[in-house]
Amino acid sequence: MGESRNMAEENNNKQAAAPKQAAAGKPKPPAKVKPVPAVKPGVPAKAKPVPAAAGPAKKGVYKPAEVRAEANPFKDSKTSGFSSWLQERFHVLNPVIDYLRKKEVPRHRLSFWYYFGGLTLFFFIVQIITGLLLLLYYKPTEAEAFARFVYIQTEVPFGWLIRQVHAWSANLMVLMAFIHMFSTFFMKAYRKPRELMWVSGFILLVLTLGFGFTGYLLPWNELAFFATQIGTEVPKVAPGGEFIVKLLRGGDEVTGETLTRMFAMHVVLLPGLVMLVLSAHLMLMQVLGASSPIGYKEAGLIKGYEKFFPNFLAKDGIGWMIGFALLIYLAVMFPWEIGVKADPLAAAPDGIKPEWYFWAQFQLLKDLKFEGGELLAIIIFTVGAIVWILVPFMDKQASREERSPLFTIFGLVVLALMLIGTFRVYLEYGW
Amino acid sequence: MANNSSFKSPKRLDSLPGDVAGYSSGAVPGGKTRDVSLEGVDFDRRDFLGKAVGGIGAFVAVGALYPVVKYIIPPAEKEVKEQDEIVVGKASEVPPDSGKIYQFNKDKVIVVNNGGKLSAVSAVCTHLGCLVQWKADENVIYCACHSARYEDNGQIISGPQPLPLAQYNVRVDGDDLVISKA
Repeated sequence: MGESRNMAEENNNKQAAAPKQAAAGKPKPPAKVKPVPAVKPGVPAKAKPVPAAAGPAKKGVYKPAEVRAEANPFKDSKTSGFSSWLQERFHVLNPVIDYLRKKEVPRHRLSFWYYFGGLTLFFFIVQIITGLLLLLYYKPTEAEAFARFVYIQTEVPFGWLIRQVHAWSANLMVLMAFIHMFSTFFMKAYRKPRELMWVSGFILLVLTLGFGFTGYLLPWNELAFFATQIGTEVPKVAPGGEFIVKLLRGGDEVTGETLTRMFAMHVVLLPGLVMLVLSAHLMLMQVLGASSPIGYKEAGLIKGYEKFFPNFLAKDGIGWMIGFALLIYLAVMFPWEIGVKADPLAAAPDGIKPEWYFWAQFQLLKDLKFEGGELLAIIIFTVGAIVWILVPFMDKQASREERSPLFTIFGLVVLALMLIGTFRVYLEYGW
Repeated sequence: MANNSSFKSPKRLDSLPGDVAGYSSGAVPGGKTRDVSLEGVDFDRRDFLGKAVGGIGAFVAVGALYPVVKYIIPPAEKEVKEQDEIVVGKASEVPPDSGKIYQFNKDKVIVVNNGGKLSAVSAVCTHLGCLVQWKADENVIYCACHSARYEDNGQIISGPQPLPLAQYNVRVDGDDLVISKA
């Protein structure tokens, strides 16, 4: 073992030695470079066998001199057997990997907020895995959905865990996305050149809420049924809304048709769209890197930069594990209810309300009770969303690396309105 | 003795950016000690962080795998008690020169009416599990998948099948068609 190591070491020395000799300006006749029949082990041979390109072709057989780049210019760069196997075959990817290695994350007192995007991604990955698992047993039909939903939780081993994790991870994913969004907003991370990261992130948030809404119906219990009834009713007040409602429901009312539509959106359409936008979002993240708050560089508040791979990723991993622990704790200790099967002819249960991330909108709809109030609420949402997505293009000051307190105030007002609305629903309905 | 496993071994330095890689062949040029060239690279901390997170992460992942594997394995179906005799339908469902397949416990059974004579055999072809039919023009039980032919009592006539079809008893009880174990 020790000997073979020694030999490996020497081989390395030989390989490394070859270019040095060339650089030293000692041109040698090709004959000397020809393979020496027996290289004595342990003797650093000067005549390192050089590919046929240098030597003359064998007698009799014409073989054009091969002019190739070095097969693997990175052959010395990694030691483990597997990685060198990969390097030999995929060294074309090395520039990409080197590029990825360059990514750095600034360290300063607000660095903490950099973890929430990664956490959102983590909970999304959990959603993909648990979602695929639920698909093994779930059947999206009016007759079977609720029965299968109960079956998963009562008969399938660990089915209860998978479903609870899926439900809780959805909530945590939305929560992390909101935190991520507001933290990037207040750090003005959306400013030039990261405008499109903000836009793609906002689209991701909307898609995430779409996941929440479409997934909510799938248990086909009473709560799900009426929540979807109310949610899909909202567009009706807008001009042309009737048509949208019909599209969403697959008919005039919430029926098994709606269930099939929501299911299709939840497991095919939305995941596909999210994957597209998420790829863009992460690629932009890689290309543009993490933003530092305005003025931090000039004020010397950046304590340094750390490599994203592997340092920050490892720290992200710590965050993910904490998130995972929290997720399992919530799933086990605070299970979501099974409820009763949806009955289109039953009265709505008392205190019905949407999921917490729709509470602010829900409260606004309730507040604007006057004639045309609902339409006004919808207009407010729509205009608000458009303004919100265009913030990076409006905030010229931030793009010039100047502070923009007006936008900070705007963000605070939006955040406060959402929190107050949410809290009011909580006061009225409880959890 | 070459100490390849150490992070300060020449090979390992190759992965570092900049000048350090230049002296990877083992020589330390210009009297510059290696420690100086490695300034700012905190090997111990970086190694520890990666290993700790990777190790604990692997532990968590394996832990999470257990319920997932348990979940994927389909739960046992409810055991239905095997019955010796089952009324599967009406005798009129199998007119002369025809056959009809019924579920009998876990097997599927074809009842053949060969010109008034009733017989019952397993309908699952012993070749690759297709369901057979009664071919009235040839008076054979026939499997359309690979042309296996059986007699009405399940014996092999021709084809790729390795075994005859399992036999069952069939009788008419009033109007009812009754299949029982042979």
